Amino acid sequence: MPIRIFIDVALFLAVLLLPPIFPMVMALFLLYHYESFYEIIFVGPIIDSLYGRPIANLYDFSHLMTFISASLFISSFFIKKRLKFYSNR
Amino acid sequence: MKMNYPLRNNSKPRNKNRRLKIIAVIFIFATVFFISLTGASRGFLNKIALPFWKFDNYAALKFSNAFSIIGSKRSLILENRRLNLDLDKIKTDLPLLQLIRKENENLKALFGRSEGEKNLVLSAVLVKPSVSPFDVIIIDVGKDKGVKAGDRVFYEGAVAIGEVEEAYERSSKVKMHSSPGEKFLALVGERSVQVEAEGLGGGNFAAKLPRDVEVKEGDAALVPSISTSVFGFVRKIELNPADSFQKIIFKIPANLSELKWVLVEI
Repeated sequence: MPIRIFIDVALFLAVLLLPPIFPMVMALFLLYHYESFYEIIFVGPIIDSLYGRPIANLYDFSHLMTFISASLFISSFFIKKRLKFYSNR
Repeated sequence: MKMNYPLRNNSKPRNKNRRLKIIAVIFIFATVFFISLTGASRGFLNKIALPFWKFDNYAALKFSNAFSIIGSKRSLILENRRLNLDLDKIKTDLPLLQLIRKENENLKALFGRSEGEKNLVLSAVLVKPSVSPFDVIIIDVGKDKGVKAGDRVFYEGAVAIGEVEEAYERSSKVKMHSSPGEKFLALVGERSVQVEAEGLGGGNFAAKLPRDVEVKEGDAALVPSISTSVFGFVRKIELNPADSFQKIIFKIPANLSELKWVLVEI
């Protein structure tokens, strides 16, 4: 449990201080490392709240990171079923 | 007697639990999403993040100062000579520049269009475009200093780099003119030809001009306004013999990943 809290704090600091690719890759890794990593639900909205703005090339869509983190989370339900790593747990 | 018992199928409660979990997750996600849409939540997150950004800036400054003392004597001597030469050239150009600026102000005043004093607030850049996605910067002045959405942001007082997208209590989010897809009007070349420029990201812009318009590298792309400010300077001209247009690439005269200070016109 303390390790999980430490990881959550590290993820939050990564969102604040590092380019967005780092916290997203970190969250993706943790999503597959832990069986249930719900913290990824918050990563996208936090990035969009802090830095988000309408993107002209995407028809002024302003929640790109939220969409990406939601997609990763939902897709993990299906991908984990097919991973041998999880089926052996 | 051997009894055969049917295998217990307890997958139904497991499936039900799984479905409940998914519904709960979707509900939490929807709640988080709609809360994040509100300005209050953005302001709250910004308030939490502000001390971390300020500490990061402070640490980066101390770290770079500490490392700057490490360097060979020869490289320091060469750099000193180069900087002195640059300084001499600037000292020669500066009085002439001041004369031209004064003449410009007098001419505008003659036609009743004097600029007046710009109200500029100096601001430190907390988050640079290299860290933030979406080509935005976060600066350390907000509503407490009179900053509001739409205020223009300048580099070195004369280079228009963006405008305030959202002003919070003690910080603001600035959208860069060079954000990919951003379009705006600029005046390019000696004849101040009006073009629609498009941001390419990273301080770069692109615009298309008819082939017969004379533009050369180093020409300024001006902000269409009575005040003298620029978007950038022409870096490259792409000419295709088959095309009746020429594509010009112009760039902000600053390294955005090393941006430390900006001025906000309030």
